[in-house]
Amino acid sequence: MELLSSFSQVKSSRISQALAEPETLALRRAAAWGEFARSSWPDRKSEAFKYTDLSRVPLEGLELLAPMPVPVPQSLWERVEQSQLAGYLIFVDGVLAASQVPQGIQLAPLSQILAQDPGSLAAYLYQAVGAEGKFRAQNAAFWQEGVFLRVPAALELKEPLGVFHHFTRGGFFAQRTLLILGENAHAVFLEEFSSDNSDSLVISLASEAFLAPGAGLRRATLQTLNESAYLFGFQNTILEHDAQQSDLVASFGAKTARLEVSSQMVGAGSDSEMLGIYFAHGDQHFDHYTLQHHLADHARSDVFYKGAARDQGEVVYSGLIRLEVGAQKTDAYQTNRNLLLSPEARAHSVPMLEILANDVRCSHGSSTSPVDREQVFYLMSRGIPREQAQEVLVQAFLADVLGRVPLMALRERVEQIIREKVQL
Amino acid sequence: MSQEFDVATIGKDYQWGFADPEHPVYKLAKGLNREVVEAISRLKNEPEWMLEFRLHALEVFRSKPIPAWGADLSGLDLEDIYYYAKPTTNQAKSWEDLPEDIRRTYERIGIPEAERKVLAGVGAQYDSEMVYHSIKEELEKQGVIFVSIEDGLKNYPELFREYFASVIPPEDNKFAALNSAVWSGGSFVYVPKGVQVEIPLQAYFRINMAEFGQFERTLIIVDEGAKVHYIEGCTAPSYSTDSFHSGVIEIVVKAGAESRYTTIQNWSANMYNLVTQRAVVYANAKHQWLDGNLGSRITMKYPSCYLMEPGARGEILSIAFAGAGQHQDTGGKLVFAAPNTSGNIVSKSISKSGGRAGYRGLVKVYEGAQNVKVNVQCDALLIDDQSRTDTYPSMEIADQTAQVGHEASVSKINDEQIFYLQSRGLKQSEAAALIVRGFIEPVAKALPLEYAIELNRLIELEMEGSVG
Repeated sequence: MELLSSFSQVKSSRISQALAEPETLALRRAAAWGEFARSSWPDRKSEAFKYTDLSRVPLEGLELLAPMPVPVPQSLWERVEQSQLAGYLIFVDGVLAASQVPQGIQLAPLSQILAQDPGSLAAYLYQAVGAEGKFRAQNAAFWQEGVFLRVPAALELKEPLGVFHHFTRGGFFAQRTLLILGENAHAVFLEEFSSDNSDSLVISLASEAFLAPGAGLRRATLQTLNESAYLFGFQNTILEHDAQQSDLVASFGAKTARLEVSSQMVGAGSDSEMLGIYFAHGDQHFDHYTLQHHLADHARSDVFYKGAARDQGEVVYSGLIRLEVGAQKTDAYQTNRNLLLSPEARAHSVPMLEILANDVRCSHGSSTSPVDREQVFYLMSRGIPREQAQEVLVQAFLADVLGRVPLMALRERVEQIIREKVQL
Repeated sequence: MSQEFDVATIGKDYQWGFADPEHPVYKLAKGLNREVVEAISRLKNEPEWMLEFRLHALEVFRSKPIPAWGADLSGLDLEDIYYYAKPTTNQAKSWEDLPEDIRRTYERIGIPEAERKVLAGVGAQYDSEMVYHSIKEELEKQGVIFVSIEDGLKNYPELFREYFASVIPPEDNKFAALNSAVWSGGSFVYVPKGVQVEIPLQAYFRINMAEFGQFERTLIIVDEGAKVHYIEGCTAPSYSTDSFHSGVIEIVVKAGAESRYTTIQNWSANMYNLVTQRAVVYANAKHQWLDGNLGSRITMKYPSCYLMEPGARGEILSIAFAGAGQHQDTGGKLVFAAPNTSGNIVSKSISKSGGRAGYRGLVKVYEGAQNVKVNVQCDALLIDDQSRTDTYPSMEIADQTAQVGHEASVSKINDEQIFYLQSRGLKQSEAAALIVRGFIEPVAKALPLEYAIELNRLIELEMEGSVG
């Protein structure tokens, strides 16, 4: 039986062998498999999955996606072109299909780093996103490929680096992203997920980022997977003192997508901006969770997640600001706004605070509302038809998150997606 | 001196007033079982249906796990509790009987005095039974019923049975089931159609025995177009062993009626206080919970309003104060089940000396409940760097037309404000107390005058020497 299952111990260790993992990493993978086997899938009684129905996700049934080289589709080349990148990696069905890497940095598939310099991984891999719980353990036991970026100290990279993950087949695929920025290094990193097949596809992401003192990372994750796909992502950034991150998560595709996005302010003066934008249509279900974990003083974090739902779409936002003892002089903010565009759309919002330090400024706000009738009326009185007025207002609603992202090519791309979704 | 009886004999040879006034007449053995439930029912001479209800609730209680969320209840041993105690029924029980430290506090805040003068009816609960009850004649003439819950069952059986457990069935949660099995004491209030009770009704609850669980049950029915304000205050003497209080408060607010329920809870710091409070509110009616939690070791209490018909409104105003060793896990729930309903929650919490206070809430808008408007505001004040505040609000919105807002903030006492007030001649502690009073003002101003005074003075006591 064991051998037949997609998620058997044998399959996990075969991946380890195929990647030629050194013993330390192979042991971690084996331990993760143990955790995966021991734990069960969360049900709606668990706080994290209270609003997300996993029964419609093929959690167990799919085969691991077998690596097989596929040429880069033309549409992806157009995306690379549009994005005005300094360098890129393109993965199709989990296999590197094209790349261009600028001088001075390391940007490569994890499999390649494992083959050339596995020692450089041990200190980072699994340190920000471990193997606790069923989903993380599944990723740690079954990941087949990933992205590695290292920017050396003091190097400032102004042009964005882009990584594209495109899928043409169904199955289960787990991948990891590992970003390491040295002291005072700066980089812009974009990651996109897309698919064009109609077979069920489950993607598991684990994304770890380590920002050394003074480092600065601007990043964005955009997913436009088609509606036979399911996405489960875990992202965590560890910020040392005076490190700065600005993160954007943009969710538009997949049938069910759940993303956990965390920032850990371990160093004084660190600063993390976490932006989110999502728009569900049909019976799409998006579930975003954010964690702002303050372990040091004088740090700042700001979550700003906005989304809309139409048709039977359902959106969930939950987030926690956690200030540990001693996290004095913290500024931490959390805002979630949802727009419901149809009678059957649903929104759930759970903004949470756990504050164990007193000399702080923390606040959160959440609101859910329909499109403002007076605003629609105003636009209609200027001769704009109702449908178009609604479109304008939805775009305006989502635009103020984008307004905080100074990457024009990315903004245009996201605005285009929103425009298409409004008009569906 | 307090005897532990063979439960089988209870109810057969019952007599009033034999024991030493300091001790209960009857105290059932610790722990919870079918015999205890049967004995309570027999002692109260209850009709058969109530015994069946209690026994059913006991089964429900056993089938439910202790909640894994919220405050830490691992220190609560439900088998190590006296589930029923019958006090001496001596009407001479007075405020002088309070333990010294509590009496001092109360004398300082002048509560008995104010209460006698201002409040319309006074029911004082001493352990499990109402021992003193009064209501002004004019209210009786208007047909207002304000009696102990036992008398409600005895004297108004049909009215009682129609509403009892209709708002909070035993299946609601583990502690509501427990209360349903062993309830004793509490008030039964009925305000007839159109009757406006302008002065508040009040009941005082006291727990006088260590390791004693109190399970009061209150049922309030506010008939169409009527108006009432019910006040409950709680104190418990300090004992070194933990005590347990698990009340159930059910309120029915019929069309066009208006009701308020005010609790100022100042249990001693070893009390587990786990209470279920719920109001169902019908067309164009309004209910307000005003919930002050100052005492207890652990409080888990989330007053709720279910807005059942168009135009209903629910308001929850909450103050929580957590000092050393205290965890106030409080909040509120608003459930919108009809169009054009509205609601508001304002929560103010203060944590000091390692205490933990928080807000846990739910706003739920059902599909078809159109044009709901609701706003939630939670503010937390942290007095020192050892204390903690939590905010756990859930918003579940299934109607497009709902307008739902939630805001929360966390702050400390502003040094500049303290400095300013000190420069005007206030002592530091006075300045801090003044700022705290300003912080809770939006809620405190909704209290009746004498309660606002009580609250302010209690906060002054709490704030002494806590800043610096």
